[in-house]
Amino acid sequence: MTNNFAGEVNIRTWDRDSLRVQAMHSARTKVSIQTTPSGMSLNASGSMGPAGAVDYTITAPAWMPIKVSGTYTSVSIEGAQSEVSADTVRGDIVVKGGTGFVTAKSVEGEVILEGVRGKVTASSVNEGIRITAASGEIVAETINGSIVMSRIESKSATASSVNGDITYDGSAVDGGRYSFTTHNGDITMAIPESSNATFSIRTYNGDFKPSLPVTGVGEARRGKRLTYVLGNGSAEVELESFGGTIRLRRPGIQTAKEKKEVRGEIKARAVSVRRTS
Amino acid sequence: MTTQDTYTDRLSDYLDGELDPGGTAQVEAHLEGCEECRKTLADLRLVIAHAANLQDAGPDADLWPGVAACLGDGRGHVAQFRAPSPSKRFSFTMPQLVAAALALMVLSGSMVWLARLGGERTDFPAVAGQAVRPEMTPANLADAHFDEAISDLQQALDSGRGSLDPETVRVLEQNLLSIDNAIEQCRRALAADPANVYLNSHLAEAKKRKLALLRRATSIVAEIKG
Repeated sequence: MTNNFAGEVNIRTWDRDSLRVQAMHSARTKVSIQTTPSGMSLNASGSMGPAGAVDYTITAPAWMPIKVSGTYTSVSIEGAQSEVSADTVRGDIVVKGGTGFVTAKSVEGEVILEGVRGKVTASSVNEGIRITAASGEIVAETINGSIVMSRIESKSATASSVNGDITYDGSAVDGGRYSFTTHNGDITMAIPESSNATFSIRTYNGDFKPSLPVTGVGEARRGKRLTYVLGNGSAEVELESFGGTIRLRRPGIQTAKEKKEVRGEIKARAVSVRRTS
Repeated sequence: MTTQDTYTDRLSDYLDGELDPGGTAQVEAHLEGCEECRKTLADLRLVIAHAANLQDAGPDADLWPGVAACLGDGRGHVAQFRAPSPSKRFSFTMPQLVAAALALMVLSGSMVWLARLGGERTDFPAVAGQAVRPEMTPANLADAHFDEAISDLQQALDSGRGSLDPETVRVLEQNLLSIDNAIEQCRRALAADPANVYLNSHLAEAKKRKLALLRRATSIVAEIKG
């Protein structure tokens, strides 16, 4: 368990039953490592007032549950084969691996999860969430960011945003439940044509554009619930956007708008990297 | 069930635009030849128009203590709440809808009448706390309660503002504004379409989201204050 007010926390794993901690900090800051009933606890304190920034590089046993919290802290955790929890105010969170309960929450940072399995909870306020190659029960929530889920194997996925788009590319398992809601964003759900799902579609000012062979009639306007069926309709899918467009399509096919957005995102990141370097 | 009953039951869906094109055509064809259904449809339009014009009016005094006093026989009553099944959809027949609308109008009128009586009659005496407390207090997202909860959290956040980084404050305010905009858009749409189920649930979700963000912001302040 690590609590870091400011700085970075980078955690990697190895197959030894030991923990290695490297910390970079000012001379006025002291790092303490304590054993607790649940494992180890890392904390920093200042000799004259609050602790300054600390950059941790930690190597932990893969089986060890990890919990990181911080305020102005970015977190990167890779290779964990146990529960992972990361919570920051400012700073991105990147988690690659993790099973069981995997939780990542940031207010101002982006949340990126890759290869996580289990009960996955991702939350941001002002930035986006990206979840890739994940399986299990997924819950993602942000306000001003977009949510992109790709290569997902899940029986239960829930995502919500206020101003962001929501994209889901993965499976719709028989008997599964999927719920994606946004206020001003678009929703794109890409699932195999062979899926069995019943779609409940609602939008007030937006549109519904299916490119899968769903059966159903009516125009999705003014909040009326429309029901469309694919295959035998086993999975329940709820898609709601107050003002955005709801799309249903096969995996891997990007619309012109999506391609443009991806290009824009790459360009923005390149500018950001140039500014910071 | 007679043919007329069948069409009467579908008039509500017809009015809400929830029938498919075939169903709509069938109902319209039937309406041309059925005086009674035309009257029922006109009545239904009237009910919706009345419902749209109903004003929410909260009482001047807190009525619960008085209600509790009337109920208070020492045994206490615990309300049981159950999370609704998200996939469940309720439907009502025309007579049920009309009866519900009339009951709502009578209830609203009574509340307004009670609230405007003033004086001692609405000054209910305070009652002692009940021995049995409900296990769970449901979130009340009616405007007055919501505003009160928001106001409390906003005050807590304002008092701790100094301990937050200005950039964090800016981000939080920007996101609260985004939610406020969504709430305002919902309210405007509801003013034009008050019976819209989607708008009502969407508005409630937006309010819950604002409460959740304010709670998170105040917990951050508490953590930083240490």
